[in-house]
Amino acid sequence: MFKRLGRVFIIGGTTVIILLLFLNFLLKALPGGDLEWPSSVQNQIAKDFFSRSSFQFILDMLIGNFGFSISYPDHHVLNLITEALGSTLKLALPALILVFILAFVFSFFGAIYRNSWIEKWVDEIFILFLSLPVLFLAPLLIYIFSIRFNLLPLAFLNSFQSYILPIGVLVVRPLARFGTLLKEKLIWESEQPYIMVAQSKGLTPLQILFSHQLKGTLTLWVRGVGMVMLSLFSGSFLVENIFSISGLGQLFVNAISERDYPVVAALVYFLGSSFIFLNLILESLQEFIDPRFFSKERT
Amino acid sequence: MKDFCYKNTRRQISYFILFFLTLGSIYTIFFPNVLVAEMDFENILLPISWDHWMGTDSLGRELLPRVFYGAGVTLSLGVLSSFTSLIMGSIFAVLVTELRPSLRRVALRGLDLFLSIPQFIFMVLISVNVFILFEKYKTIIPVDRSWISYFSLWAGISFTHWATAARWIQGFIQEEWSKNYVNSAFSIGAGRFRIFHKHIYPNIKKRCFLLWLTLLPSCILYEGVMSFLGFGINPPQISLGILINDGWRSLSEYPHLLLFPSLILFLFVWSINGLINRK
Repeated sequence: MFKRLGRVFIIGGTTVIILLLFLNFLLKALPGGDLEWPSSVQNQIAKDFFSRSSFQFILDMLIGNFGFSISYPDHHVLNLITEALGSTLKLALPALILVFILAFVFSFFGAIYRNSWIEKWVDEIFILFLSLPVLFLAPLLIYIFSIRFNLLPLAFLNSFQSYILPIGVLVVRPLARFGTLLKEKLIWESEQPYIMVAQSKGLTPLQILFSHQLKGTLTLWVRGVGMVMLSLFSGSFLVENIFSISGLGQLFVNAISERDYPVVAALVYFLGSSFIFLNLILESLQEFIDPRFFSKERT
Repeated sequence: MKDFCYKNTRRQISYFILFFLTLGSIYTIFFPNVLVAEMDFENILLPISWDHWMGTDSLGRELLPRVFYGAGVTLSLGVLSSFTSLIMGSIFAVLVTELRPSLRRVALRGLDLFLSIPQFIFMVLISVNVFILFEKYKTIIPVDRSWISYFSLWAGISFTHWATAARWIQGFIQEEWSKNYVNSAFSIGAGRFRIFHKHIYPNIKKRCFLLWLTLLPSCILYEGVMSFLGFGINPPQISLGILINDGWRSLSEYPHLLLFPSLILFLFVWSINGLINRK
């Protein structure tokens, strides 16, 4: 247990420091220090931000001393990020649960009715979902549901109805990606010898699925958390801009367009380190569940 | 290659769509005079009709050639950047396989962790950086602004997609090296380079081609997203993302301005995905 946690911290910490060095290199190449800002406070913040040494920059990032935002000089960057993280998670967590439920339903029918028209149509639906870009789906749904029939609100997160469109748009691509993997894994499990033993004992296909096959897919679900979260956060950069939701994605895009480098640096550090640690923790969880998965031959 | 020839309705439709879209966009790229079709202030913002197949925009220009020109720019960028990322990824993969196992494990772990971060943030940072660098040294390298934006987007997309390509190609190469015929080739005295050149490379060639096709939709989509958010192609130049961004402002009144470019984007991605899918 402690060995695993220690390994997570050592590998994660090293990668985060490499990430910060790379980020420092990118920010030093930007001519942000020479820009003229409207007010003297903003000029002071920009000067403080760019006049630090690389070592000081990394140290400040690691202890969470992000400083002030340039475009909102009266806000701490940390406060901006925590506020935005709230609304991003309000979208991402329901979407994660929805992806898992829908992927299970689709791949369940695909795996139970193998080699029939149902499996064929599940495959077609996954291909369609995989290639539905947000840029096509979001305007289409907004036009149909909000403008034509005036059923759902088209922006902001005010009421329960306003969550439907953004979550529906976000879910589509991760659902296709995770559902394909889950269906293949379920079919692969159903060809294993232990399923034949269970069949010869007289279990029904549903009993076999719920008591044997699903247990075999457990590592895939753990891996799926990281995969789907990555997909959802990548999608949120666009979805939050389209639906005017003040989340991390909108914060990042606005910060890049307004040259608000303290916010950009803090966001890259925050997103990067949280995803690195999430993946490392999920990886050691998979190793704990199924040790043969990570034998020496891996990589 | 046999996978491409099955009698499959979806694959036939995909071939058909891809053929016509590519033909149309290549035609408008090489004969762009259809674009400069006179601005007709009598016929602005018309909906779909027999005279105007995709309607007209706010200056009375036909939308159809503009959409196909934008699709051509997007497609060329996608093809170019996915090809570059494939080359970069294969170089990295070959070099990594030659390392000793402990170092290789470290390198691949780093690659995995790089892939677990949302790639969009790196893409934006790299393309903005490249754009600013070109603007800074404008006097030394006199390039047009639209070409600068094209090049910076290319750099951004290639820089983030090479890791995916490297991860896959490394898997292919590793799998080939562990096969039995490699041992027999070693035992009759062939060198590492010769085995790679004569046996490994021909065996992974086709899989690499398929990998290039799987990278293509992602590159095309990222072009649309970046141009839509304003980090990609610059406005006088057209691409699908720019057209979608233009149409976005008038979605409630004139939906055809937005829905046709995004429909073309969807058709591209769907037909490529439908073509490469084995099922």
